[in-house]
Amino acid sequence: MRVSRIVLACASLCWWLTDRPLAHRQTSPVSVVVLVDVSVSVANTLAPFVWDGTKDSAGRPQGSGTRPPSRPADLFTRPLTEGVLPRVRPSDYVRLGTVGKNVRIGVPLSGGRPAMVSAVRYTLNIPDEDRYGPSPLWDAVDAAVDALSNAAGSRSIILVTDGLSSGNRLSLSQVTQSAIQSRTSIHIVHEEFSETSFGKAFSLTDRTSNPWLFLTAPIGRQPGAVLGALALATGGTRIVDDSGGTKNLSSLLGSLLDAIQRSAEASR
Amino acid sequence: MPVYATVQDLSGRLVIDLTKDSFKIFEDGTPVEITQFSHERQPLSMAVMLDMSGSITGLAGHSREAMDRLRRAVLAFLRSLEAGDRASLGSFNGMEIAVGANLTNDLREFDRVMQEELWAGGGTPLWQAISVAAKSISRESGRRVAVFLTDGVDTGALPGWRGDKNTVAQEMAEAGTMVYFVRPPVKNVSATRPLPQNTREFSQETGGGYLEIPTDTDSDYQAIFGRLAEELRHQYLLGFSPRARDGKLHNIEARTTDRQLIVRARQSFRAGG
Repeated sequence: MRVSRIVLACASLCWWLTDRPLAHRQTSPVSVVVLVDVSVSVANTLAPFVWDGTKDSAGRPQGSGTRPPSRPADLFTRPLTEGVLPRVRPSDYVRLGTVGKNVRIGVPLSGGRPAMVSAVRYTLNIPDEDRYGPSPLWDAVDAAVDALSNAAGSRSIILVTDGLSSGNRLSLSQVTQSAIQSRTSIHIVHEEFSETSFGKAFSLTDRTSNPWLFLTAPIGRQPGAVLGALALATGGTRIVDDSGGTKNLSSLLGSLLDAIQRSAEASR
Repeated sequence: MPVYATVQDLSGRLVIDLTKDSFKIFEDGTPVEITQFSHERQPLSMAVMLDMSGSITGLAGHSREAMDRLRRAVLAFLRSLEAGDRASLGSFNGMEIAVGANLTNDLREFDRVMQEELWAGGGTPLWQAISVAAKSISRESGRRVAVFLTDGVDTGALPGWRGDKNTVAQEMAEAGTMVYFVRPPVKNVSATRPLPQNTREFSQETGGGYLEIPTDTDSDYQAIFGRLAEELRHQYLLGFSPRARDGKLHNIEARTTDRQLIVRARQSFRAGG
């Protein structure tokens, strides 16, 4: 009888383990909005103009060369489908959003991979006119915090941006407070223009013969300091990606999502 | 149809004590009756836009101290807003046109934008920026003003925009938005460039104007912005009924009976159909 009970218990456990998705039996769900900054400044950093070596008579580089495809779908489809989608578990609540002239937060990713890939493609189909400013990063973060307000489990936002924020209704301070109050941590992949890539490529060509320009803050804090402070205040992290392309983005997004899931598990 | 008019004497001093009888309005050269007159200050909706292109910042030798000077002057100017006035503060550069999202008279908001939302570099999509800024206040009632701190040299629009200076001039005529240019003391290699002639003319056609800050000193910044604030404080409101509501653009001219005085006011309007 006793042996029978053990056999029955083992059989039940085996059935429970095999019949339920891994997420239900071992993991705490996470709620995440992945926000992608689709402004042209980010595109210029991720798909830098490749200088062909042409110089003017004074020896200054001229704006001649090529730029790889740099629409949001060109840049972000692969990192999202390879870095994020494979890690989305059935119990997780994950939404994808974009920050351009308009802020868009998509529906929760669900269903099989084809459905989720389709949702990614749909979200990244951004009209060109939305990419040339403003870039209301703080309003977008606030919208993401709001989108997570009723979500279960740990709440996180993953923001992919160069930090050049503009045209916000809300201040950085307001949004930081809002995220703290709603216990939402903000993790940032900071797509930072790298000066070390000078000579091979540059982020911005300028029709006024200033091809070496990249955008800086003339008065306030530089993006790195702002993004770092936002991440720190909300319990998130800032990862700097200065590779000048998207080759690292899949693994960075994947690592962040892994870490968020592990953290939720650890705090269960 | 409202016409906001600035009157100066030959020495450039503002003339602020005229009466209705001092003015005449001509539509396509024909005198029309002035049906509304006020020299009381009219509420103001204003989009202030800072040119953050490379020619203004960074490469032009503008130091952080100079940018701080600009910041102080702009904030002092915005401090001159009165009850009922509202403004937004935004910027434009070679990658984006970002009109301020909040129309307000809260100085903290303007300072926030200065600290958080200015990014310098790239070209100058000036005409496009004027169009975008004017649209942002087009639904506001009363006086609408767009103030641009810029060297006034358009270097081309951002991709996808099909307008030009002429289409923007038409938009201003239709909206009745006055455009002002304030040129910072930009040093382009060796010489400070004056505002281009076509930029000056553009501003005057809208009933706005242009001002140039001569040197990179606090006193010059404050003097020029003070002058702009004074001008906006002392504009006359003249109203008239268009002779025909044909949906077409018409020329308009405001004059004073004293021909020694100079009147700046919009030079065209679209008669609603």
